[in-house]
Amino acid sequence: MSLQNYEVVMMTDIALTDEENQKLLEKYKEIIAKQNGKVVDECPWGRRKLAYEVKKKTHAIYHILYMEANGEIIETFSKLLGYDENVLKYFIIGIDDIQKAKDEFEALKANPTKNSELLTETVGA
Amino acid sequence: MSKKKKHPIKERAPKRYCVLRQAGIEKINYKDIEILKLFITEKGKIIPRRISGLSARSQTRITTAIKQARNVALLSFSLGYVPQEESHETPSTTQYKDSK
Repeated sequence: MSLQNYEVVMMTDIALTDEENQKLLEKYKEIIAKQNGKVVDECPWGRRKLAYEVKKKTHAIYHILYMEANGEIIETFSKLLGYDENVLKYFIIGIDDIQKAKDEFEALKANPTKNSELLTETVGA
Repeated sequence: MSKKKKHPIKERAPKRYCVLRQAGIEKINYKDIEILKLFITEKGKIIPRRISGLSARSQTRITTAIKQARNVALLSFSLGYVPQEESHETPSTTQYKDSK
């Protein structure tokens, strides 16, 4: 079975404490590991405000998982996430290279206005 | 019979170049909201290519990134009704009301 690289953005309830959130994530990591998938890396994004209300909540904890999986794993994984009440929303997207994607995200987290400043400088408006 | 009117030679508008290419930004990630916010209106709509002046390639990159960011609740689908300020009322209509 060939595995592909995926990036998963999970938005969980802000009522959860950091420990509870970690427990929830580890639960899903085990589920993926059981099906011969693999969570290679992860990256927290902290508590953020949502652009619109999701399940009557205005804030959420963002967490990004980088994993190797195939179609079957993604199918069962997304099904379980849908049942979970603590997970407000999730977003799964295929990526080429995990290490590159993570490095880019870390750079963005460190300096979120880098690209937009570069653009406004060149245009001059 | 009248002669056919000659069309005056149109003055060509100065050529516009893609802003993103000038800045040298190739990849656009959906998590980079600050750059995406430059290409949406205050109501949250995507600015069309004829106005934004982007190349076809970078416009599609921007639109896919905006649509992905909406799914992750980083950008809003729409902001609905944006209340306008009172100063937006045109003076002509107010004058008309007074004269009546």
